[in-house]
Amino acid sequence: MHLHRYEKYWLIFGVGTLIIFLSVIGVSAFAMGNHPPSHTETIDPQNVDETPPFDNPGLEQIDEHTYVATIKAMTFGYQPNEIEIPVGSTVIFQVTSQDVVHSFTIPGTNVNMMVTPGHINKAEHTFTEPGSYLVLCNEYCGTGHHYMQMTIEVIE
Amino acid sequence: MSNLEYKKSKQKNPHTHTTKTHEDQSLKGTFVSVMLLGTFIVVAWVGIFYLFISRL
Amino acid sequence: MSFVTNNGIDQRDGKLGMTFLYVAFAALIVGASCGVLQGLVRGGLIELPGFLDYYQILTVHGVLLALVFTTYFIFGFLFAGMSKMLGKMTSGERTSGWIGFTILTIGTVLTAIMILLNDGSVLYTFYAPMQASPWFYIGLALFMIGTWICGAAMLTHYFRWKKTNKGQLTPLFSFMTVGTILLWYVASIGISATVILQFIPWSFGLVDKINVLLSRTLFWYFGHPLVYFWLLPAYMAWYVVIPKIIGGKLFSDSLARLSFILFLLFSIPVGFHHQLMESGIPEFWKYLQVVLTFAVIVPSLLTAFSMFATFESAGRAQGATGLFGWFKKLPWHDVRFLAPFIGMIYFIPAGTGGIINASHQMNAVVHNTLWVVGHFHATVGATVALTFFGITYWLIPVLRGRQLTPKMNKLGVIQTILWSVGMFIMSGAMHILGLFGAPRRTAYTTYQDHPTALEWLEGVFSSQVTMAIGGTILFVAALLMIYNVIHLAFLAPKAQTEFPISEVAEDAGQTPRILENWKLWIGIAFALILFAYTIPLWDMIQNAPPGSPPIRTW
Ligand code: HEM
Ligand SMILES: [Cu+2]
Ligand SMILES: [Cu+2]
Repeated sequence: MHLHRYEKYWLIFGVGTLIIFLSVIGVSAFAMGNHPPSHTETIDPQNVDETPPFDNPGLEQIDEHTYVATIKAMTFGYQPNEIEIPVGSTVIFQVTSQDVVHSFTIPGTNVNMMVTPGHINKAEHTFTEPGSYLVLCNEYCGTGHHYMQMTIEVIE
Repeated sequence: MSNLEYKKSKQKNPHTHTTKTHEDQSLKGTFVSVMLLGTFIVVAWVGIFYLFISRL
Repeated sequence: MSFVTNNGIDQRDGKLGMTFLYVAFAALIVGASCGVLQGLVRGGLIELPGFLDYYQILTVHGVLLALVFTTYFIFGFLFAGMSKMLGKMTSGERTSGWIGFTILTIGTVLTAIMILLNDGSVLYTFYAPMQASPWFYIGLALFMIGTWICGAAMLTHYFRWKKTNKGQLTPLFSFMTVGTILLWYVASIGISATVILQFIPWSFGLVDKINVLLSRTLFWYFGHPLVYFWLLPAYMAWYVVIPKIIGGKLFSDSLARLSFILFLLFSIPVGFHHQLMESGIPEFWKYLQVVLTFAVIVPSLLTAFSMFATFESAGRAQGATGLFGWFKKLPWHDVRFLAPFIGMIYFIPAGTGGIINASHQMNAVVHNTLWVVGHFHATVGATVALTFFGITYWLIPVLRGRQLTPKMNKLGVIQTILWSVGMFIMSGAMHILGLFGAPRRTAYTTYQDHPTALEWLEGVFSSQVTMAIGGTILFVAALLMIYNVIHLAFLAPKAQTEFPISEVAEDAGQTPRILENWKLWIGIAFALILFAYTIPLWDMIQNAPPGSPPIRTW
């Protein structure tokens, strides 16, 4: 098998670029903790209402600037469907579904996770700008899918 | 070209094939083209990576 | 070689191939009609009549275009090409082809009926625990069985040729066909397992719960190689047909074969790149499959070089000088070249988008946004579809003993330009909207007039209205394509038309024989699959949460 000289250069450049990309995301993920949401904890999807912490969904402050938001996704909405936090807060979202597959997505941020029944998924975000943040479901979940939303009010 | 013809003309004994390499061809344009393509990939990827970082 | 030659395909084989193409284009026009409606709805320009649900037509669109149009076109093209390259099929092989076609079609019709009855509005990915009618899944299973029988007919044809031509290098087209079919076989294990072992018993009520994560994982084990099943036949046309059309030669036989082997090896153990945002799969295994995904980019890098080199060599042989003089020598007025060429150009942003999507945590920026829809309209809707259209302009005349007249060629060029422009506008707008977070698979909504969502209806290139305009142009292009297909199949003047197959590359004599050692490659492919999937799959089954009962949410 013969490779033209230029083809060798091209492959070295191409493969080298791919290795650099992989290293950058690898370091960002494994060394700096920017992992994709991959929480592995399970839950009985038919008993979400009785299983802590989802028996009591809502916002809980765990230290000065950090909150945990426990949220249930269901056709076609979230519970709670509005939370309010001061600007500068970090929120850890833990979400599960009590029926079909949904997502928990905040446009303009990196919070964009699948919510599959049977698992709890987690993502974290620090809100540095005040405003009303839209949360939406971007996985088809039925006729009312496009109505599925909640808001996060980030106040001064 | 019929199937038979294809076989006759193309399937000469592979072992007596003369070794002609591509080295004598000019592929400068090809090289420049693929490098432009490569540049596009890098710029686009870095752009989205930057977007990801800025949204952290 | 003069233009009019013996088209060299047994008529009975040609009929089989042609029948597949008819179904493919019927699917195209129905699918495109749904597509334009989706675009107009999302742009807020129309409302669907009460008897049509957005998600129902979206299911029709996805199934008809992503599954039916592609699969039927591919089998039509491959059957025709195999008959051309390896000689006519035996009557046994041909009968298997027809049996495969029949089962495939029964499956398609069954699934289509369920969707039309609104008993299958689960989109073409049919994610559990939404549950369609059991007949929806039975239809899918029949679809798969039909494809296996068709594939078996081609494999038999190939191995028969090899036996009677011992020691000879197989024609490149047939080698690539076998690579594509084998890829399909290995990939279909995943979807067959989930449909037959999970969905069918569950939808008939034999079991009451389903393991959601497992079903999604088996689906995506299939889902990624599925996209390569669409792409490889387009690559076949690029490697084997285009050089002939531009009056050149394939750049390298062995590199072409090598790239197909790499696709076979690396396009399967990568399904997690569709599940990067999902719970239940540890980061390590996601990242491992991300690395394997990046490996499958390499054969496309090889292909990019081969294509440019083929163009440049052909141009220089015709007297082109300078760095880019060869560019002007390309036959721009020939639709058989223009359409696939634009397809190749589309693959530059399409492939780049793919690298971005697969980049582990970066997927959060784009996952399930309109960006992804823009991405796969660039890959399958532009790269693959335009290449298939380009093939159609000579394949139908070949199979029907007719001619691509200069006038038809011109209409073809117009059709190609319309499709390219429409796709540029629609897919471009989708990419941008996606970066702003606009969701895919979502009917018209302003989220109670939330400012974030209202922005998606404003702006010049970042608006769902722009998307709708692009979609409308595309629909016009699809109508024109149907007219062209009808003309080529029934109205064009009778003539002999050439099946363009490029001369064997100069290095073909040196092609290493190991490239055709299918047992070896399948063995390695399975080893990679076991490596990438065994532990996470085991974990999904062992540590499964209580399953999900069926739900109908539409
Ligand atoms: C007339 C041409 C076309 C138009 C106007 C069009 C339009 C659209 C639109 C607007 C969507 C997005 C809907 C949403 O996410 O809410 C969509 C989805 C889709 N399109 Fe197309 N499209 C066209 C051609 C094609 C072709 C040729 C293919 C493939 C061969 C294709 C495959 C798909 C697939 C797989 C989906 C995703 C379905 C899903 O999410 O379940 N489209 N199309
Ligand atoms: Cu939803
Ligand atoms: Cu993929």
